[in-house]
Amino acid sequence: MARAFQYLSPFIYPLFPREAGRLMLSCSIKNALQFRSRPDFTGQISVCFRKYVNGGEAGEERVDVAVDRHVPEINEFSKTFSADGYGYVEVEMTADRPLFDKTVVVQGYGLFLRPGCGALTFGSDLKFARDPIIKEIAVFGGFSLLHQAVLVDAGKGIGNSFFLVNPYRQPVVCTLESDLGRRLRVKVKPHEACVQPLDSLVDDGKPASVMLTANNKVTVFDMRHVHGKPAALTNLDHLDFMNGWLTHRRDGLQKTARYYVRRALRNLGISFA
Amino acid sequence: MANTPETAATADDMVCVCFGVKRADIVAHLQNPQQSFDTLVDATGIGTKCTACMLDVDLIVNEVSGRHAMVRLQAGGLEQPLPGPVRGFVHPVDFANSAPFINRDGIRTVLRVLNSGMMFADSKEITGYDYRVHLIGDAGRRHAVLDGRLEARETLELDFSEVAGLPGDGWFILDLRPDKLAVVGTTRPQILLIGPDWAASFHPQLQAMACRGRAIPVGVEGGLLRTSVSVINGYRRPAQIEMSLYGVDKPYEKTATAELGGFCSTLLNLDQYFRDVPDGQMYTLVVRSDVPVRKHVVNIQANGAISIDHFPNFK
Repeated sequence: MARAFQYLSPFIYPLFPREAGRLMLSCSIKNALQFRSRPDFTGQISVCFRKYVNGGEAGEERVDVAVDRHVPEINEFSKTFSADGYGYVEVEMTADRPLFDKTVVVQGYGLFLRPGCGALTFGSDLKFARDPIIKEIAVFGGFSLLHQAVLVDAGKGIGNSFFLVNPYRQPVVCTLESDLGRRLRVKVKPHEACVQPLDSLVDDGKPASVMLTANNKVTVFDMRHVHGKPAALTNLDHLDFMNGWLTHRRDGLQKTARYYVRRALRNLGISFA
Repeated sequence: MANTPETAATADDMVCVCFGVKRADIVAHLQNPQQSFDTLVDATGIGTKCTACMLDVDLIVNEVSGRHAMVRLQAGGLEQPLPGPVRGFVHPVDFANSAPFINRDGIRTVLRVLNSGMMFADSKEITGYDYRVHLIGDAGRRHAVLDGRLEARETLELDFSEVAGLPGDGWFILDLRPDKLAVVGTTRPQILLIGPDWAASFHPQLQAMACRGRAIPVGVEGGLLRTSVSVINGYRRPAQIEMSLYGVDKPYEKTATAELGGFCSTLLNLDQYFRDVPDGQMYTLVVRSDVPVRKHVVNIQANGAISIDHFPNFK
């Protein structure tokens, strides 16, 4: 029988104070069933939403969905969250028996709705690390993330912070270092989320890169906001990990030729496919 | 907010519990010009057992020598066999990335690529690149080609607003060509959109992964979606675009179509295609096309601030 897991890696979504707006996310049972290892699954899938605010658990909600021969009674549903402070929502999907053929699946997207302003679309993070991240920690001895387009411009009212989330039971110590060599350390307690302004790391008005290293995986979102008002969000983005890709690959004649033809066509402006 | 200031370190601090190495031992070792981090590891074994101290060791090494220690421990991606068939031809991976640009209403688009992250900057496994950027107007005309070099340990920064004659909207494709077989590290381009009083960052996407269909959630407030979809067609032939909006919790389904010429890009304003969408639930927007296209979701807030994210690369 094929290897099967009873759970999918939880998704981590950021939560901001109520006055900043509310988080809206959808949960697709139909999509999750794409990763099933059993062709004839009949049973129950549960989705657990755990909310953590100001470092403590602030509620849990569970939705059970019956599945009949891999047809769920509800394909998809959405949930809305708000909070009295900074925090996060952990969304975990489990089956009543081993079902999924992998635990780490495609990231989910969420919406942050700002009253009177509109929505921000962003990608959530996975609680458990993907293989390249595990390898990075094993090889380099630490976890690392990078953002290459940090910008603080106080004169124009442009603020930039990192939103750090520690969904684990042990504290995480993070070091933020800019390409200007400035550095600061941040300790994130278990189940805590915090905002770290980047003003002290970069020169005002000049784009810069900021690298984060930590003794464990930590979830980080790049926040753009009104300067000095982190709750007045204008953009949410993710950081990049050391992916360890190689610059070259080995292919058969056809794929190799396709690469060089595609490159030549782009060079000549004949095709940009 | 939990932001603890950097803790003052003392010479007596035990850094490596496994081998009993103190901060003072590390500093004394590295202050000798004849010694290096390699000799420190050989002499003490630091960082080779549980590895929990490596971050602290790296900080101390960096303080004393200005270099990062961690690179020594890398297992070396280059020691792994190249992916693909054993008997084949080695060629660069197609790293051409594309994304929209905006060059109007006081908005600047700045492309940044750091080669590579600071933690990996001393690595011998990173390499330089030749780069070429094609800047293409939304009507499909190539306006400029920017060529240059991105050396290892350097940052490429291109402000497209400095390119003469660039139209207000369009797209670009960045081709990175590595000098030699190496590890890409964190070399993933990022875009900085700078408005009059806001900024946003987002990632361009591999052009080779353009696709015919993807979905993304969108929200409604006051009957307005305030969302556009950026679509880039890198092919010469025109693309037929079909956008379907589905309610996640309550029944709602509407479809609209658009056409996009070859090499063209566009911002499809969803409020022009889907009017009077009811509030109170989340929607899924599915964008399908007969030609593989790249898609970004563009949220335009009431104050004019723009937020952009790419559609998922995988279904």
